[in-house]
Amino acid sequence: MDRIEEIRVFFKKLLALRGDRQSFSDQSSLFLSGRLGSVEAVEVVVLLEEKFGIDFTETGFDETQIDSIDAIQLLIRTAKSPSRAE
Amino acid sequence: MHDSQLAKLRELEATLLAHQGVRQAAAAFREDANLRTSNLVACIVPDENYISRALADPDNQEKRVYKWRKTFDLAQLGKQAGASEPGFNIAGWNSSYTRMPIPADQMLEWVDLTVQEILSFCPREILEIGCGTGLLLLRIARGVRRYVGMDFAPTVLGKLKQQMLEIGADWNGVTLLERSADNFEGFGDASFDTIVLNSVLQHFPSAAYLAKVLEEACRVVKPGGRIFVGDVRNLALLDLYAASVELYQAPPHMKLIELRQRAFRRTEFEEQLVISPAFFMALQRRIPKISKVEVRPKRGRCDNELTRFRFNVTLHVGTPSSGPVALSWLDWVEQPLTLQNIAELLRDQKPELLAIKRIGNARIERDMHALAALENPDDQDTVDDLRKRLDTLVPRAIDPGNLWSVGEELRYRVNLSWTSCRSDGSYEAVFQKMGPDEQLAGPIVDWPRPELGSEDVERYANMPGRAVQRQRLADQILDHCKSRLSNDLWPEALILLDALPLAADGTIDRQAVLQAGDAFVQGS
Repeated sequence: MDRIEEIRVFFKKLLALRGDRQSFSDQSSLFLSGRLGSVEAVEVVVLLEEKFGIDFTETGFDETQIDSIDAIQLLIRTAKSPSRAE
Repeated sequence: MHDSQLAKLRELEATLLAHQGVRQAAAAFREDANLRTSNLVACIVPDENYISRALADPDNQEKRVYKWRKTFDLAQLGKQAGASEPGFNIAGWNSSYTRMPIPADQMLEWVDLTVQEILSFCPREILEIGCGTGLLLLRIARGVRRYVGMDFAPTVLGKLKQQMLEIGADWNGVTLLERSADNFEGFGDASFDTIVLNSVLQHFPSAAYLAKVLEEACRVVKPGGRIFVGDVRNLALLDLYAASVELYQAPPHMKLIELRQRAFRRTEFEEQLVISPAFFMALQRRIPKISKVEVRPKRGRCDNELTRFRFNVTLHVGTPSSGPVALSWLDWVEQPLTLQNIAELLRDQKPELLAIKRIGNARIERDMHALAALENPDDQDTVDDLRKRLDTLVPRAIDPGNLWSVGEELRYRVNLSWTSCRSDGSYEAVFQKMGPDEQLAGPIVDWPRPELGSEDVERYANMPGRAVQRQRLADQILDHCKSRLSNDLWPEALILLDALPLAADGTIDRQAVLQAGDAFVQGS
């Protein structure tokens, strides 16, 4: 399972724990739409810190950064781009 | 039904019942005429004690505390926190309705009125549990001898220290401690006159944790001192809050039946600790040092979830100076006075005291009508229909904020109370004529209270995380079945109910099981 697929599965599990079994796409808003709340946001942040080495003290934090699979992919790319390390 | 099918149902039910988290179980076959198949569906009634034990597990509670701590720290890493003025960092204060930051003017009113309320105690030595970014501390600390601020979130405390440097005043009396709310280490008995917990307890993991914190707070507060518990989310109004927020967010075409389901789910999946005013009265029975409990709707003219659904509490510690005053109550339900009637009564008759009970609450009058409409909605009724009906309502109730204004204008001290814990949010008011001394102490009032069925404080709070724990239990049960049964006995779906449907003869109605409940866990 690639890492993005791992995040999809993680979101599916978070939604299921809230009794939400509706499907979602990579573009679906998950936090700003209210499907998930701040407690779940922390779980996603911890996953991204631990599995992807993202340091939110450097990137700053806003729920829009983790609102969808696409947003997370962008965050991962941006956080790892060489320009940030300079 | 064939004997073989019945045997399968019995075997599945026996396996379900063998799980510690299951109190009752039933299984049935769901026929699919198109596919000519029949699949097993299981239905369980979870053992609520099992759920409670899992929630009360120290690891679970610690995880919940950790998640909130991280939430607050993360809020300080956003743009809003970066752009804050020193002394007014309101990052993370978002509206449930709009999911956007609560407007700054509304937060400023909230801060100012809370500060006023705390200063009215004339505090000298304050312990604030959950001082956050210092919205209260930065306004109060310089006027008192000692101010100890505790908070569990290191980034948040860092922001507070940074603001103190930016403001640059003398903060000699201030001590900041990074620690959790239940850590009173190093505080002697009777060492503060005022303890403040403002807008923090909703992030506590349970009512038992809150009771433990307040018990310790009673130990460290001096006789004659008080514990101010501000901005408490009211359990009596939780359904109303959920309906109000969901109605705001719903698209116009949504059917009311779906809206009702959404409101129900919002309440079920509430992640914060929500408390009934009765909690504090039950606590008073447990801790006799608490001499008086005051529960007030929040002051303020702004219309938001803080003024609609939250309350402030003062727990007085020590012996009360006198008994309650004798009052003759007017009943607003029997005699619905308008604001103007009340003002005229005070102006013309100039009573020393005027007491009115069961006053309809204008802040939530519209929400009350919306909630009533959701009780038994018509199949075709939509959100748009409901909003149109609500717009035609003629308001009858009185905004508590208007009573305070009338009191100020006519030189009456206005004492409001929510100790009655009614689910319609109605409240009591006692107007007390001011003499030349405006610092008049409030009268000791025997406010209407509900009969407390139990002293168990946990009965007067929700259980944050309960619904998620039930979902976890469902996952565990499916795994339990898979590890013990051949795959032809694995349930296709697992339905969680509060009670099993019964047939007229008192046996389990297996066909009703198939229709019961829409919250089910899909087996695989």
